[in-house]
Amino acid sequence: MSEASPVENVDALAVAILDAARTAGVPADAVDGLKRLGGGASKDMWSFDLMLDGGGRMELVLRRQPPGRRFSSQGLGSVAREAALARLAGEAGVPVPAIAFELPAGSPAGDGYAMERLAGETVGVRVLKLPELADARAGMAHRCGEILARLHAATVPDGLNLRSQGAREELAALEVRYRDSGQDRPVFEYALRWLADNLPDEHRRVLLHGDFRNGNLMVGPEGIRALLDWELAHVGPPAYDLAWLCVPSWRFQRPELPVGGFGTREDLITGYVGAGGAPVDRAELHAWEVFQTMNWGVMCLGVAKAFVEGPRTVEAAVIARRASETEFDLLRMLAPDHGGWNGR
Amino acid sequence: MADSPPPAMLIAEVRRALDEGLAPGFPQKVAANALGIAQRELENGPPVSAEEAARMCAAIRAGEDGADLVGELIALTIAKLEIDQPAYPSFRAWKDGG
Repeated sequence: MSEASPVENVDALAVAILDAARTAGVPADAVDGLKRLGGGASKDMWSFDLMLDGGGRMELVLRRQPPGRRFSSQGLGSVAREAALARLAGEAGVPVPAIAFELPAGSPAGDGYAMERLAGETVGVRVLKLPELADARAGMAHRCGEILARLHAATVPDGLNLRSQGAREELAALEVRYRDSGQDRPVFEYALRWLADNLPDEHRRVLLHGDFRNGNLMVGPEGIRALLDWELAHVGPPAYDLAWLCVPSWRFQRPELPVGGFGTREDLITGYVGAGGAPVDRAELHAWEVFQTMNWGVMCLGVAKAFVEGPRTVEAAVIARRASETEFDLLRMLAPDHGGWNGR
Repeated sequence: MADSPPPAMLIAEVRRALDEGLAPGFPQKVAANALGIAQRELENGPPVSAEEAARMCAAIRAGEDGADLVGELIALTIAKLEIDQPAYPSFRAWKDGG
C-alpha cells in the first residue's frame, strides 16, 4: 500500500472518522490524538479522542480493516458486524467495550467500528505473571464460566448470517485445513482418527465467541474487564468455547492450571453452571479439548504455509514450529499412561 | 512434506531480518529462537524423514495400529520437541517428572 493512499494518511483518516461519528448521530466536533495502536495483517487499531459539541470528550478505539485489504475472518462477513455482536453480548451481561459507532458502508476509513477505550492487561503471559493481578487470577476461571454461560444463553441474532457448525462439520473443516497444510504429521492423523470415534455429536448449538482465551480477555486488578475480538463468533456446541480456553498452549509457565494457566476445570464449570449454563459432560469437554488443541496445531501449520508462500517474518517461522507442542499435548491427553513416557 | 519451515528457510529469514536491522529486545529473542531450532535440527537431523512421516500417516488413515503405534508417536514427538521447543513448559514439566 503506497504512502499516498488515503487510508494510511492520518489526517484523512481523522476526517473519515469524524464523518462516520456524525453520520451515526454522535454530536462530534473534532478527532484528537489519533494514533495507531498496532494490529494484525488484515486489521488495525487506532486510539483517538472524539471532541463533542459543547465540550466533552469520548475516549475511543477504532478497530477496522482498511479499504482494499482482503477480509481474513473465517466467521463474520465484515468487521462492522462485530459491533452488532458486541452490543448483543453486552445486553446479555458479557463485559464488552461499549460500541460508540460503526463506519458506514463505503467509508474511506474502511470497514470497522469505534468502541470505548478501556485500560487493562491483555497480554496472556503478563496476565499470568503480574503481582497486581493475583486476585483477578484467583477468580478468573469461575468468572470465565459465568461469562460463557451468559453468552451461550443469548438469542442467536438474525441478519448476521453467522455460520452454524456442529461437531461433524467442525471436524470435517479441521481435517480439510490440516490436509491443505501439505504437512504429514502422524500425531495429527492419529488425533483425527480418535476424534472421528470420540467427538460426541452435539445436542444443541449456541452463540459462540469462537476465540475465548488468554489474549482476548482484558484484565484489571478486580478481574475481567472485557471480552474482545469477536471476529470468529459463530453458532455451535457450547463445549467449543469452554475447551478452547483449556488448550495447553495458553498456560505458559503454569501447565498445571488447565484453564488458561489461571484456574481449574472445576472452577470454570461451577461458574458456568452457576450462571445458568447447561451441565458440562466431562468426557465431551475432554474430546473438545483434544479437538481444540489440534485446531491450534493446525493454525500453526497454516502459519507455516503462509510463511513458505510469503511474505515472511521471523515470528511466523517460530509460531509455525509450535505445531510440535500441540502434538506433545495431544499425546499426553490421548495416551497419558503409555509406557513410552517412562523413557525420559 | 516434512515439518515446515525447514532449517534453511529459518536461517534465511533471520539473515534477512538482520540485514534490515533487527530491533533489540523481543525481535532479537525471536530470531535467536529461530536459529536455535535450525541449529538443533541440523545437528540432530530431522526427527523423521518426509517419506517415513507420509508412510506413518497413510498407515494411521488406513486404521493400522502396528505393534506399538502410540509408542512410536511418543518417541517421535519427544524428538520433535527437543528440536522445536525444548523449553515448552508442559514438556519441561514432564521431563521433571510431571
